Amino acid sequence: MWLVRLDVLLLLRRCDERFYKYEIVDVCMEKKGQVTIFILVAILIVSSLLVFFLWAKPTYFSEGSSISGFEGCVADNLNEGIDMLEKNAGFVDNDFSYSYEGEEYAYLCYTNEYYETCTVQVPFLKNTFDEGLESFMRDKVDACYDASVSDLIEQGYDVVVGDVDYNVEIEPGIVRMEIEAPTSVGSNKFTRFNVEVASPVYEMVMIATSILQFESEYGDSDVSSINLFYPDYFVNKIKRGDGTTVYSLENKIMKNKFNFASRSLVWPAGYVLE
Amino acid sequence: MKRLMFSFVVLLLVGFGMAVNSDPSFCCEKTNDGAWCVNDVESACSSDYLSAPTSCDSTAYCRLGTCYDSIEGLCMGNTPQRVCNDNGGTWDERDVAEVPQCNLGCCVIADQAAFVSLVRCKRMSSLFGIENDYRTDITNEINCIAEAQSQDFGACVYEESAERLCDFTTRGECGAELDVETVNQTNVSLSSAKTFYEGFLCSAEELATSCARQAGTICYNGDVYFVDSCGNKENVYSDNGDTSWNNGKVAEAGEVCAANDGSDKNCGNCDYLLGSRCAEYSGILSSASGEDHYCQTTKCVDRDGDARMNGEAWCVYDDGAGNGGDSVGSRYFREVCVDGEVRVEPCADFRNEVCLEGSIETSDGEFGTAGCRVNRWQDCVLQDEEEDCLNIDRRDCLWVGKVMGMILGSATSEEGSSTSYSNPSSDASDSGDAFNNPTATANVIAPITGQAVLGDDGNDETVLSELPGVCVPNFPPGLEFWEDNSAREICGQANAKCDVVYEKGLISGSEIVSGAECLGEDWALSANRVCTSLGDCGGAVNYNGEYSDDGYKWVVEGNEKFFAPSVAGVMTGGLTGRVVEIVGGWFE
Repeated sequence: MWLVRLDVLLLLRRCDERFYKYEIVDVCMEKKGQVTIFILVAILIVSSLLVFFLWAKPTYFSEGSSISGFEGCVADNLNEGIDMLEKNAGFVDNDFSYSYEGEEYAYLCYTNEYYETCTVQVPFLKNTFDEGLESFMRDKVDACYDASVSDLIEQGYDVVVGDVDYNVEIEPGIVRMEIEAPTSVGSNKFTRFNVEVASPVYEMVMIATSILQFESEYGDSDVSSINLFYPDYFVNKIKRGDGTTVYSLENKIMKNKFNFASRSLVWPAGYVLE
Repeated sequence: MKRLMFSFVVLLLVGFGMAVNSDPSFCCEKTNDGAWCVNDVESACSSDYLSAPTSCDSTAYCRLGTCYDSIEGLCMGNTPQRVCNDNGGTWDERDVAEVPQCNLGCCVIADQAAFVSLVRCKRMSSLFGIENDYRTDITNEINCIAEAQSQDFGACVYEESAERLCDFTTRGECGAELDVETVNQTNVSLSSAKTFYEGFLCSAEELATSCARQAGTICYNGDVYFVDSCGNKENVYSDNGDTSWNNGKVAEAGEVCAANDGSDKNCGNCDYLLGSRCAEYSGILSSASGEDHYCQTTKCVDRDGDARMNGEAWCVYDDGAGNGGDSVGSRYFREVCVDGEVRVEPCADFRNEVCLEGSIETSDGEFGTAGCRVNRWQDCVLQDEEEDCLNIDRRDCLWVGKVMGMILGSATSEEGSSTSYSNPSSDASDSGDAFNNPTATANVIAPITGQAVLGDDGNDETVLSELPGVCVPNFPPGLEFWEDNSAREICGQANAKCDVVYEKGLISGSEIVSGAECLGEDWALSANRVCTSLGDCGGAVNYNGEYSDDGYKWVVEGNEKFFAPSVAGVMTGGLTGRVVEIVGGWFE
């Protein structure tokens, strides 16, 4: 873009210089025509780029990780794990769930009886999410590490590897992963890798915990106040015919969704005459 | 006596139903489905876990109590001991309110506050990297929030690498000495310690910091704020920069510019309730002054085309909405306007919840509020006084005028089993056994789902209701009439039988002596109205507007009758509808 602009400016200046030299007016006019074409082409190119990047938003532009190497590989997998676990209340596998519109919503609080508040099934969501993410990342971290080591060896480095251990924890605004991987690359030695990805999952887990406390204590929750207190979040609450309440907690900015279900203080349909 | 008998039977029925549901015989520590501590049949219990032929309340392994997380400082009630221990928690048999670790206090974190336990406060303080400020003298959440809002804000100035830096924060978070250094026209002495200047922005000239004023904008608490070159929040954004800067002093949002409903792009004082909230310019949109944020309009348009403010909620229903006119399968919904989008929240199914709405007067008109709450229909039929029936503090009922021969709670199922009893409002027998209506010659049967029918029982006595009316649910509950024929007994509670007495002429012909009204369709409609008010009974329309007369039987002198299409059309409109039958002038 800058080259085009400079080129155009140079041409304009040349024509201005020659404006009073009548013998080359035709040339100048010809150059002015070219300038016009150049300007039009430049506008066209700029417009196309604007449309392409601002409107069409090519997917490859936002995909992948800007971090390269081991940390980038781990971060990509972390994001994938967070997305997957959020939809299942932090569980990698959970067979006790409610099916709704093709998705499984894990029961975090449940009773199969009428007129009773629910029994808590998962008391500490944060721990569950941490453990679920750690479980999800187990093979992924090893794979990332092995791939990075292989790359370095292929590049001719002398690499000495150690045992890989790691810890993952969700915190306000981020998910942090600390990896202990004693590694020697030539004369350089690495011991610890820290990977952080931005995520609102901690806040969502805490809001879900609050809803769970209400469900187990009072049999229902007031999502209106939650929506008011947390303007960046919205709680979709859907009561189903069997008494199950399906919750989908959505972050309006990052579009993450945290799904779960509860069945508490259910009233039967109509009169109970059984 | 009869009235008492009726009440007794209904309560017995409800109680029996509850007992059935709470008597699944076994307490499964874990079921095959994966649920913890559920009362169910033995086959549902996982063989890898404990089970016992008793209620979970009686077992040690499924005793409920409070589970406490000593790391996060969270407490969770109604948790089984095993579940708590497996999740690394500490279990306590007491309620949450009785566990000392779960006592709540006010945790102040910078300009925010949370009403949480002490450990939770410490945990949050450590996560945010600030000093713990926990106040046990504040005993409720409202005062806690007020405490956070009343904190002193100002410039926290310190020196680093020979540069005078500044953070805009609270006095507590600054960590400076409590003695506030006053800034007059005197020189400001540089010090390596932090100094807190209450009410000053970091860009105030007097402070001589390296932070330049109004370098950009941010969203903060829903409003648009200027930030200085150090990233510190300043005052609310205004296109008049000097007004916003306020000579380097903190200014309330209202002092900078009036509350913005989203129509003014030059004022950052967004008002959530007026329908605006801070948003970032996106795409090719940008402000004239080059700022990054603005007050975005968040108003919605409801189904009727009316404008709704952000956060406003209102009720939506399929049709009917009370007055006994809720159609079969209909439901109540709450809709709410969220950031320009209408979100739908269904109330509990089978009309176990209804939506109620109200409004708050604001300077910009009424602000709608709505919520789902329990439909209190359960004891309507027990009320025999209009005043009790219409006591909206206690129940959601409707008083329906007297219907000739109408008896509630009189059905005998076709199988001749449960749920039959005398109606105290009639002259029926005191026996408490099967319905005995002396006005007609009928035995009550319920041959189809949701339908009550009367047959000839050979009894010729005429009975008129002693009561001026009957009390029925204002929002009729929905029934699972497609399962187990459960609606059969329920709908069979309503019967109406009416005799028409003829007097033969001496020579020929006859004339009606009494009960002429029983031959009219109006009487049948009135009776049908009582039936539909009980639930999904009678001749009624469903939420799709489709009418069905499967739910009633209307017999006149042995001949079955049906409502005229025009009347069915009225029912479709959601006005009335109930089960009725006439035999020789009677009905149910």
